[in-house]
Amino acid sequence: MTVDYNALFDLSQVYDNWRLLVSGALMTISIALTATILAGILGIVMSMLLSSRRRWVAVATRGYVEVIRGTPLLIQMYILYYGLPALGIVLSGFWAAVIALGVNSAAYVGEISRGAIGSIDRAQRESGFAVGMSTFTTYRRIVLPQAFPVALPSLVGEVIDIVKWSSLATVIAVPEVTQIVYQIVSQSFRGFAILFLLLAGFYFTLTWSLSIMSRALESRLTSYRAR
Amino acid sequence: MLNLNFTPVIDSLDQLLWAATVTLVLGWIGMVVAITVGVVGAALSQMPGRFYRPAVQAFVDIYRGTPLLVQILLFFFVPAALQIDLSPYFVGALAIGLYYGAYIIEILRGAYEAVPRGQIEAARSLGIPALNIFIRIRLPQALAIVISPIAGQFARLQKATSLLSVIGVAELTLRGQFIMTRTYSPIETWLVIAGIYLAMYLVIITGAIWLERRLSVGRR
Amino acid sequence: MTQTPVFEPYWFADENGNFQGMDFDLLVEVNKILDIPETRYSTVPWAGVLPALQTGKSDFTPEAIAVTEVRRETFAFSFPEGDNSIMIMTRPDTDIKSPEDLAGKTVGIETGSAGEAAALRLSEENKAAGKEPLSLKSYQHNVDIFLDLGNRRIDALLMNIAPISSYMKKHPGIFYNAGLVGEPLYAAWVFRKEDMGGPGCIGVEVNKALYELRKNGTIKKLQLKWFEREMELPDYDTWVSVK
Repeated sequence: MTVDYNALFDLSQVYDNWRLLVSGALMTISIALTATILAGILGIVMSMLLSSRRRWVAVATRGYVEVIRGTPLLIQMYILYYGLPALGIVLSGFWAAVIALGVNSAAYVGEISRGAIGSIDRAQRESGFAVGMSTFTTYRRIVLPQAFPVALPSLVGEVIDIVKWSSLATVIAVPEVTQIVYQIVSQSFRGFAILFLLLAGFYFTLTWSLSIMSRALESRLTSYRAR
Repeated sequence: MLNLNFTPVIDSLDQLLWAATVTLVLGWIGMVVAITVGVVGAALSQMPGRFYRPAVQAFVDIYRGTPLLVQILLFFFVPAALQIDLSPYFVGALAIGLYYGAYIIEILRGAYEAVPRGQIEAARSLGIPALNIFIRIRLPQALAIVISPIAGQFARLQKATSLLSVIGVAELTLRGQFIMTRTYSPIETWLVIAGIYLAMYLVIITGAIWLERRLSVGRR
Repeated sequence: MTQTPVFEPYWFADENGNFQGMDFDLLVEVNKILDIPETRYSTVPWAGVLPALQTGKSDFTPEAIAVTEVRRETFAFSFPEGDNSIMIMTRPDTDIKSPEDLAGKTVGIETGSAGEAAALRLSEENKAAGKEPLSLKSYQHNVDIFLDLGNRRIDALLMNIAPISSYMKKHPGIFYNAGLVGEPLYAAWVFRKEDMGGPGCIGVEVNKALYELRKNGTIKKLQLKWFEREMELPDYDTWVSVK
């Protein structure tokens, strides 16, 4: 049997299905965006719990973080989507994916933020208190503006991970872009090289622009140091 | 409300343990590939000339910029269409190794450059040969730095073998699907499987902490 | 050989991981006639079965696969062994009683399956007739679709008759079968086209064995064992294996 290159690079598969492909891309973006917001909120909560002065809170949070980090995202999605209905909780595929991605990422974001805040000299915080600033103001005006640029590259790395790993939502029947491509390919066996390359290109464009934006933002945020 | 019945899953425990072995072996093979890619990539990026560094950088950016699932599907379907006969086990371990290899390149590069220049220059001025500088000064310090991030990548790689279920590698996750076709008990099945993965993770993390302590003996 | 052991009662794995089913029994009989001592199996998910055959990873696929016109363009089929039509499965609380009622409903399908093809066709027909298309949800595994029908995330599913019958037998009274979709389909084993080329080719030899097994009543016996009914088969003498 000879190799049929036309079948590999059959562009008609792309033309015929472009609406589906665009809807899949939009679904991927909205999953990633929602999960990023969730990861941000949960991550802040995690970093506070991890640095709690009550030892058992910190230990319990650490245990929770290790369980999340120690189990595959794929299995977490299966549990949320196919497992929870046994307990009477029926999530849509979209929300199961968003929660799994958000919770997973928060386990890493918490650690990143805690490290970044820890890197800021204690004395600065104390001088904030000394001039009569509240804890909230001290954090908002002194600690976070310095900690944020430190944490930024790792935080953007987490967002990039969310974008990439949102592709797993395909196993819980979410019509995101990877599932759409897989579907087109397995119905016809035609055009798959071109479809998979386009798919990879789509993700790469997203993650690449994120890392460029992060570099630009980082140099702006740290420009005060040069001044 | 909560009435879980683990008996049907426990009945298949021997199958699950066999599949867990497959998962472990895939993880080890993937890690060998990843470290090889990492060492070769990091070494190449130190080579003189205008070609190597950007080439390694492009590899790292492309591999880290696209989803592992898409890479696995690409590796599985495209050779198939070109009539190249590859086992999904081989394709899977290779795809995972390359993906995490890209991360390990970055870790190794960072660690190599992290050893202060002053130390190297001091060693040179004492007349220590270059190879000795590498083996006795650079390597031990770099190793102590990389253990924990590399163990972190190993833990991620081990979890990522679950993605190979999509191309039919009969590892733990796919075996879970097959068991479920008989038991129809998703929550029990997936909780047991999650527990097995967690145990593997804990072994990796504990091992890394132990190794790190041993390697950093002598440093205060 | 490649197959997916989740297609009860044609081909599945029991609690010890051993293969069972009509296809498995039939393969044992065929091997006896062709004097093949040993068969090596590799298990792949459904979406990988036909690609594996296409690339020569497997010699043939001894798993009941629905004979569809689209597949016939690429593959050759053996003499059919049974029925593999596409059926609608739903819950009694939906108002789905026939394919017409599927318009606008959420329907679960397995990626790459004949059920998916039937659902896509039905959806196109609906659009052409000015009716609502089907809202399709794609899954990787049959079992996930059954679970989601029970979880009420989908209104119905389209799948081959064999797995639906065995699932409904195990879970009586919960689900409802809303009849067949499209033309009846036969179940047959799949070969590469060149392996049906002439005497000595594996496809031709397997077909000879199947011919004999139908004549001596083995196929009927196996149908009764696994399906508890005799399934109608086409005339082998006029059956076209390669298009």
